[in-house]
Formats: sequence, structure tokens, C-alpha cells
Amino acid sequence: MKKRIVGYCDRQSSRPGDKVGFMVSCAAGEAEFSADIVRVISGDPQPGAPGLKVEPVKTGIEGSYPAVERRIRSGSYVRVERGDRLAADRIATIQATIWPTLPRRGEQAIVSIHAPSRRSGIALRINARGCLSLLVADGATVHEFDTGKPLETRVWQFVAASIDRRAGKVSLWQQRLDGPAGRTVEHDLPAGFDVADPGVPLLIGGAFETFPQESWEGAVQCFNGRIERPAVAGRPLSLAQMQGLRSAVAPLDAAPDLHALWDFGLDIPTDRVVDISPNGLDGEAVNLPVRAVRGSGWSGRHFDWRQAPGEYAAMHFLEDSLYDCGWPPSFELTVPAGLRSGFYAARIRCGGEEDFIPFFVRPAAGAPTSKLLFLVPTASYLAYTNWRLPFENPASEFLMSALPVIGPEDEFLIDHPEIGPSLYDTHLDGLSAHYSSQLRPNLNMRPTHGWLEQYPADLYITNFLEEQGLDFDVMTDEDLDREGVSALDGYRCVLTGSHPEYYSTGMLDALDAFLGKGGRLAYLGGNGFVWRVAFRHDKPGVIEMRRAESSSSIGANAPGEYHLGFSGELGGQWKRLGRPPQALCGVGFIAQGFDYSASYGRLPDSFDPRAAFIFEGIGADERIGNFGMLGNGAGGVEVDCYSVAEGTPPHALRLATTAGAHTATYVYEGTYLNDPEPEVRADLVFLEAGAGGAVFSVGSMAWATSLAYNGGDNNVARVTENVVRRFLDERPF
Amino acid sequence: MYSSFLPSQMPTPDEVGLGSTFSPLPKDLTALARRFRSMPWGPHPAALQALLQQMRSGRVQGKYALQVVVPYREWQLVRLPLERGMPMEPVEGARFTSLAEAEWAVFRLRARELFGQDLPADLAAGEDEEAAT
Repeated sequence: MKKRIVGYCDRQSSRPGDKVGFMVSCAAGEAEFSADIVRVISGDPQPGAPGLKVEPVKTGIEGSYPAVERRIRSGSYVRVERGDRLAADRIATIQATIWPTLPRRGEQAIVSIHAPSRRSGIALRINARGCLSLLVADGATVHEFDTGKPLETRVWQFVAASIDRRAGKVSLWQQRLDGPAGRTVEHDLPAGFDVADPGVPLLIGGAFETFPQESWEGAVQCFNGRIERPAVAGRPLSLAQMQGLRSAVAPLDAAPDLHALWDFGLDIPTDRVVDISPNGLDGEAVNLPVRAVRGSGWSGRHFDWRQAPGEYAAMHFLEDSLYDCGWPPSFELTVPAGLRSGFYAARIRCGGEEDFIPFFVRPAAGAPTSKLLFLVPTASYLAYTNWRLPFENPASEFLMSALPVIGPEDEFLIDHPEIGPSLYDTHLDGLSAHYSSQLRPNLNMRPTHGWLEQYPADLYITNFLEEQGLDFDVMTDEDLDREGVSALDGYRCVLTGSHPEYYSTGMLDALDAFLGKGGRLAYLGGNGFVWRVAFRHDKPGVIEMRRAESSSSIGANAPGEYHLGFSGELGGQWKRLGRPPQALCGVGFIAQGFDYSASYGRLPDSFDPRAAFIFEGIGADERIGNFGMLGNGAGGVEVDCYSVAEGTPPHALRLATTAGAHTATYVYEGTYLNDPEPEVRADLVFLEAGAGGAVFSVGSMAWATSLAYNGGDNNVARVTENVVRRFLDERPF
Repeated sequence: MYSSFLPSQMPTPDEVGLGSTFSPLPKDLTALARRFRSMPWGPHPAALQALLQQMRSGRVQGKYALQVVVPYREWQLVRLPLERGMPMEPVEGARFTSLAEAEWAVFRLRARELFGQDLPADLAAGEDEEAAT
């Protein structure tokens, strides 16, 4: 099945009065698409599930729009605006130190003032044969001079080219930093030839192109690999002068007529790319080239780039890195005043297909409309955005104990790898993804997606709240990160989603402070609060993650690259960073399996008077959750357990457990180094927090999808409702 | 740190039946197949789980998968792309209206590919006491 329509919006979180732009692409041959706005209540359409429930909202945008097929043009690069010193006909030397990862993949520009379609300009590049080349063009004729020797893969090499216009010579250098002296290759420049300036920006890691019919300009021929200390000069430099610039040992004025030298080790947390020459020709990083990566001079003495920025003066460029598709908006919504806070989506229809672009509406600033807040785990949605595991990871069928099922959304991802990876995937050159952005279609964040995790699973929680008549407001992870604990003012109880795995420091700080003030937290998921991520306050809609060394199966980072570029913080699992999830919510990840889920049996703690409110209406011997849409049980998929040794506060009550009820496919994944009795299980836990607050945790991803069983009349829904209603009661715990 | 077991006190790989052939034919393939057919999603007895581990290992490129034809109702057997950017390849004549039948078809294909054994398509599903132990 091929998708006929996809889209994304320019902001996932909004308040009444805010404008939200929606970008839509339709398959070729379609004439128009229709759109309206709906409140989303539930989604899962499979037999036995609540089905898609949406309520149309009149907003004025409903109607038909022209269908346009949009291209996704990815690739990271640096753009430096043109100026006199960056006119192609004034450049005589281009140099850089590079670590190419796919030198045989075809034409890739290293530094260029060149627009391929205009047949003018100059570019230091990798040519179609994998060799270093200098391309020069005079507006009519393109000449390319190469070294005749392919570049090496994943090896630091110094590369440079110069033009001596008086002598009519072009010289090229290509040399391993750790090898014997390289060779100089000279070519004759055709008599009377000179470079014509194309009037385009200088790009590092790509060549400039415009596509006016798509309202798009950016880089083509994108480079894969690392570039360090690129420089351009107005005179042909000697090898010694160039080496001085490369190694940063010589003063800059030893290189005559230096126009620019960019040091990527400066301003790492930003998009700014600093020219350290006196000319101040700073550039801007586009589409998130990876910063805070080891350069050619990494000594192994520093693991935090903030301590030795000069050793991190490289950026890793990728042809499939993407921050913003940059499509023009198809329509724009002004969120109506008084619109209830909640889950919403633009419903778009084209060629017989219906799709949804989700977004979230908060109440007006400072005016919560409920004491109950659903904290939408958008950082975790981002981490899984467009994940390719079902069809690219050899472990997929093992993990799921079943054949991978490829729906139309996966087919779109197979057809369009340029949409960029999730944080579970690698880039084309093998580098683990460091960033994930929401400014691109997110194919699995859809109400009707067959993958019942994250957004599709969390709609079981919204469905439950609506069915129980529990009014709630929503807020996204990025809102909480940006605003801190004050964003939670006025709320008494925070609900999580079913798999809130990715947390920033700001988000954890806010939850800790909320609980310290008497707040209540109902953690309705599994494998939560696990990985550190960082947002950027100057660049919305993107997270960075470094798994560091602590990952079971997903690519670890290279040594020395564990610190996040966005924040400088050490990346990895929160348990290794001193803030185990057990300390926050009483449970932490221990195992995963994807076939049958289990039910919970009550433990002695569940009869403690402190927990009586949780089990009202539940029999003493009743199994809890022996039903559900994920493996026919409430305790499963990814599960967490109670462990005082790992950080669970000793006063926590361990109420119920799935211990002993799991299949053999459940693989122990936690590292319970201190716990004498680790065991594969999900535990139900309650604990009081400071100042009258409390926490309830289910420790299972499958819990949410059990809420709707039997029309919502079941003991998982009963326990959840008991907890939420008591947590909304102001009486302190 | 000392090893928690001493090789000198362990049986040899040959003694425990870890033979030299890459894909030893399970002694009771037909029995395991009958068991798989009756419960394709498990829980599996240990011998069947081991067989499935073997069948499901290998590179992801060209592996079997099910392409949705009609959501929740109809699936086409495909082979996954040989590299990123390439299409999936449909397996001719392998379209299913039951996920269990699709799993069974792939089990049979792999029995032929790994062991050269043709299992009858209509092999009766059922418990098998020997395989279930």
C-alpha cells in the first residue's frame, strides 16, 4: 500500500491564539486534498480495540486545498553568506582536514562556491571516482582536476587545492595525517581560463542549489564524514603555510591573504560557525551536522568537549540529516479561543486515504482548566520518529517473535530514506543518529498506526480519561523542559504516557520539584525516565541524545563523544548519571519481551491501609490485567520493577507483581548490579512524596492498552481510576 | 576474575551435540513443525525456540516480512530491501488473509532453505508430546 498523503506541523504545542502551520505533500497526480481539525480521543482500529474516535472542531480551515507533491531534501552543511572575499574568482586556495565515511558514494562537495546547474564557481570535492578534485567553471565550461588516487575511508586526511593564475597551474594535495608525506599533483590550467563567480553562498559539506518551483534552496552533493578547520585564501599558499593553518600551530597571519578559517570547536551548542580570521565570515550550520565530535587532534585525554574545544574542531556531515523539510505551509490554523486543552490533529484526506497530523493544545497561559495534567511524552515520540527497526534491524523478528509487518507508513520510510533516521537507527554512513526533529512527517505518530507504542498507545489513556469523564489538560515534554516546574503550577496530578523513556535534566528537575511541593505523579507506563536527552531553547522541535556506552543493542558512541553538544552534559542512562528512575517513581526497567504479557497478582503491601484506596472494588485474589491489546496482558512489553538496592525509597509499597508469569522471551535488560534478587517482572508501586505528594507506578508499557477492555469495565481501569481520583483530592498523603 | 566454569570440567561441544555441521537437521523437524503450526506465536518448547532462533537469524537484507495489502486483513509476503533505498521484493503467489498461515508458509520456506526438507503445506497442526518437552 502506498501512501497518498503525508504532512507535519511547525509546532506541536500551542495555546489558544497561536498559529500552527501545516505542511502537506500529496502523491503525484492528485489534484486536491481536504482538511479539517479534530479532537483525537482514541485511535487503534484493530479488531477488539476502541477504534478511531475523533470529534471535528470548527476552526475555519476546513476545506479543500491544491495537492502538491513535495520533496524531502536532506543533508547537513554550513552556509556562509556571500561577500567580496567569498567571490569564487577571488579564491586561490581551499583546504580542510577530512575523515570521509563514504568516499565512493559519488560527488560530494567539501568546500564550494558552486552551483552545479549554473556551471560556474569553484569547489574542493570528492569526484565520482572517489578522488579529491578541484572543480572550476567559468560559466560555460567545467574543468575538474583530481589526484588520481581515491581517498581513504575513515582516515584523517589533509586535502587542499590551489590555483596559481599567473603560472596557469592547479595544485592538489591529499595526505594521510598519520602516513608518509603525501604528494602534490599538478595540472595545467587551460590558457585564458578563469573561474566565474556564481553569486551563491559558500557551503561547507555541500554545493548550493535552488529549486524555485519548490521554494527551496540548500545543499546538494552533500558530504558524508568529518570536516575540520576548512579555510579559504586569496593567494596560492605553500604546503607549509597550509599545514600551519591545519594544525593551528602557526599564527594566522603566516598565511597571506587568508579569507576565512572556520573553527567548529567554538560555539558548539549553537548553529553558529565561527570564522577565526580577522574577516569574521561566520556561517550557519544547517540540518544539524553533528557537533562535539572528535577531531583529528583528539588526544584521548579529554572526554568532555568543553575542556578541550580545540580537540573537537570537527563536524560530522551526513547526506541524510534533516532538521526541517522546509515545505511551504498548505494551511495555517489559529487555535480558537476557548478550545479545550487536549490531543488534536489536522485530518487530511486525499485519493481515498485519510491521515492525521497530531498536535497538542494547552490552556491559555496561567489558566489551567483542570487539576489533572497529561504530560505528553513528545521527547519519546521524537526518539522513535520514523524508526526503521522493523525492516532494518536484523534482531527485529527475534524481538517480536513474529514476522515484521510492513504497513504503508513503513513503506513510505523504505521509499524515502532521506526523511532521516530515528534515534534507534544509523545514518547511511553507519553513524548512530544523534538528533531527531519534529519538522518532518512522523509516520508512526498517527492515531491509526499498527505499531501500538508511544502515540498510538497513549490514545488508550486519553480514551480512558474521556470515558471516565476525567477532564484533563495537556503539556508536552518540550514545554516542561523550557518552563520548568512553574509550568506545573495549578496542577495536582501529572499523568505520564505509556513509555516516557527520554527525559531532559529540566524535565526531571521539574517533576522532582513538583513532587516536593505535594504534587502527585501517576506513571502509567514502562521503561520510563531512562535516557538523558537535551532540547535547545533557541531551536525548537529537536532533541539530542548520546547513548554513551550504556546500550544493550543500539549503537554506542565513540569514546570521547559521550557529552551532548546541545548542553555539554554527559549523556547516557539516568541510572548511570546518578538519578535512577527508581528514586523518582519507585520502579526501574528490568526486562523486555514482545509476545505474551502477564497479569499482576496482589502482594501483602496491597492490603496496607495506605494503599486501600487503590484496591477499592478489587478482590483479594483477583488477577489484575489478564487482558489487553499488547500481548493479552497488562504487564508486559517493557517492564520495570521495585528495587531498594537500585534506588526505590524504602517506604514504597510493592503492591502487586507479574513475577513468575512471563514467557521465556522476556530478556533481562536491566543492570541490577546491587540487587541480590533481580527478577523479570513488572511491579505496581505506591509511595508518598514530600509535602503530601505521592507517586503511583505500573511499571509496564502494556498497562495502557488494557484500559479499554470490556468497554472500560475492568480492573486495570478500576485501579487507574481509583488512583487518579484520589490523586486529584487535595487531602495530603 | 576467575571464570565461573572450568573448560576442563565441561563436556566437549561434540559430546553435547554441538556438531560440526552448520545447520544440523533437527531430529524431529516434523513434530516441531506441527507444534509451530498449532501455536505460531508460542510459547514454544525449548527445541522449537532454538529452531526458530536459527531460522530467524542472519542478515536483515532479503529477510522475509509481510507487506500490508488490506490493513488487518490481507498481507503479501516480501523480502526486505537489499540495501537502504532499494524496494522490497514480493514473493510471487504468497498472499495471505491470516497471519498464522503466513508464519507457517515462512516456516516451510526456511525448512527447505536451511535443511532441504519439504514440509507438506497441509501438515496437521497439533501438540506433539516429544517436541513439547
